[in-house]
Amino acid sequence: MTEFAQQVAAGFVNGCIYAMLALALVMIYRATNHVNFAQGEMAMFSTYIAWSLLEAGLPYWAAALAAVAFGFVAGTLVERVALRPLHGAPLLSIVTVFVALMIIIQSAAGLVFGHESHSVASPFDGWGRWGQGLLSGHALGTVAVTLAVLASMSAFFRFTRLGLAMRAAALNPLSSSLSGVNVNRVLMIGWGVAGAIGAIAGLLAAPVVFLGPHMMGGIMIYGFAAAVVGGIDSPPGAILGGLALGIGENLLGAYVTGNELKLTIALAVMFAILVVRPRGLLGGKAIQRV
Amino acid sequence: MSEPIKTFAVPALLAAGVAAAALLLPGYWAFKLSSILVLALAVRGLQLLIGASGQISLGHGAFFAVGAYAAGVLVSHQWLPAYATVPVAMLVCGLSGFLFGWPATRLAGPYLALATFALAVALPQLLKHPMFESWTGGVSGLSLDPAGAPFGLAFLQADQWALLSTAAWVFAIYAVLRRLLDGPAGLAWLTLRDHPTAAMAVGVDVRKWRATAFAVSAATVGAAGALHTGLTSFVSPDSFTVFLSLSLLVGVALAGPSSAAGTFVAAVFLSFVPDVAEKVSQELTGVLYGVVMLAAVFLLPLLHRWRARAARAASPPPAADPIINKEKSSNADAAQAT
Repeated sequence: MTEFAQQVAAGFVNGCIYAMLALALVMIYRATNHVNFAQGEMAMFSTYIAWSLLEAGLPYWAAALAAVAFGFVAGTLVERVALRPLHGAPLLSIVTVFVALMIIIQSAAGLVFGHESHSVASPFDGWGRWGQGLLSGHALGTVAVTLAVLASMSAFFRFTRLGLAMRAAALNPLSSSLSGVNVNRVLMIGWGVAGAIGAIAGLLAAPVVFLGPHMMGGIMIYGFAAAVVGGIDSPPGAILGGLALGIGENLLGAYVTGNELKLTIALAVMFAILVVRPRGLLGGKAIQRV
Repeated sequence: MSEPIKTFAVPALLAAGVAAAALLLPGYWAFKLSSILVLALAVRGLQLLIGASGQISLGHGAFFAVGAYAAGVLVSHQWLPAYATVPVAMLVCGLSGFLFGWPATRLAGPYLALATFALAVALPQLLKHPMFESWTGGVSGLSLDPAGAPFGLAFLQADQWALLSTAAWVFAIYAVLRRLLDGPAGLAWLTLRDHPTAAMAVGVDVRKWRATAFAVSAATVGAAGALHTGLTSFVSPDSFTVFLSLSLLVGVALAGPSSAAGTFVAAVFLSFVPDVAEKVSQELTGVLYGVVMLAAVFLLPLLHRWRARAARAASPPPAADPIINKEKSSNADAAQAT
């Protein structure tokens, strides 16, 4: 029983990280209807920024804040430089650009920071262990941060002018620009926020998986799968999908399939959802005008 | 170029060139040329899917791996010699491509890219899994006896024979694909690429043709995988990482959506750039690949526009854009064909 509880707890924490990345994907999807394949690599690079600032002797929170700010700026830059010129371009061009960014950022991280993996300290280690030792301080911190980000994202999309403008711009760019929304600026901010959320996810993942140019490979597949399972346009869906995948992955790995097939499980789950219920568990139905 | 010259003289010249190359080139360069041909075939397979049917796959390395393993299993059990495994590998990959492509036809653009990406990431894990170890050799893969020339051609060195048989397969498959693209299948693909709704309206069964495109393209890439096994006499799960799939995509970005000649140029690039770049740094290959993809998206359209403007300046009466006309006529043909 305790082993089972441990597996669930560990899965829950992994699920929070998947959920964060899925949230960033959802953010970009809602703003632009694109799936950002470079999301994981952008998060990885931001985490490297935090790590090098930590190495330079900055306190953790300052370094983390700088990394999140870097994520924001990088996101806006990617939108402005790489994607805006492609407005209305065929999907193939857009996917090609995302894949190119993914390869370039990963290689650049290897060039700049080298190949060794580094361990990154967790800011929550001082919290001790909770729930009869099931949850480490870092796990608890991860959960808290995820909930905070989800709450602020939901509030942002529902209650703020900017959030509403962003939803409008994604739904119908032309008529929202006619009603006074600065669509370009809104898109840039959407990308920036997604970059910042990605950076937070990277910071939360780094103490668990070690920092390295390839740290996000497996995590990102689960992030994609979480977004697809939950519905790629739904923030609560992303959280649900992330947690379900995190817990399911751990339980299946421990009791059914063994650890070698973790990625295959993500693939199978994603494919099954896409075929059976393409809009995901909580996603809205997409209606397309011909 | 007139039509008979194009259909007979060009292939004859190519065949003569390859035969001469096989007899004259020293071992290493014969091997290099063969691996370029194999890469070109793989790029051609993905190009068919993307350029002709308009579907995006980030995971075609997986089909390359399946083809390579199919050949590896056949050769290691001594059921077939290496150069004869290609049809079996094509059949296996065509089937698995169809089985993957049939449900995937429900997935539009980015979702299909996602699903195929996950396939590329997950496949090496699956190949290493102990469950299949008796077939795949697990983590260490399969080491095969290098294939020599068959009886009667024993005067050829192994590399020369490999080049000849590879070239024969590659050109044969290119010819078949050309016929396919010029026939009803090609027209159906082009219509559903350009406008799926209109394609449905003129009676093209979108789902069937999308899955067929997936199967044909997977079979082509699988043939490349089988030829790769014949060349290297070795298959291991770590040769088929997601980077292979992405390199194929780089190849298509370089070759353009439909040019068969372009796939050879792309293969030369994919084959030599890593060699050169890794002398400087291991990471440079990735940066160069990414830059090439960005250039294909951002610079090529500029180049085309500039050339069109130059052409217009050269001939004052504005001629109709030939590409648009061609597309219109192919659409009309498709409507008639179906």
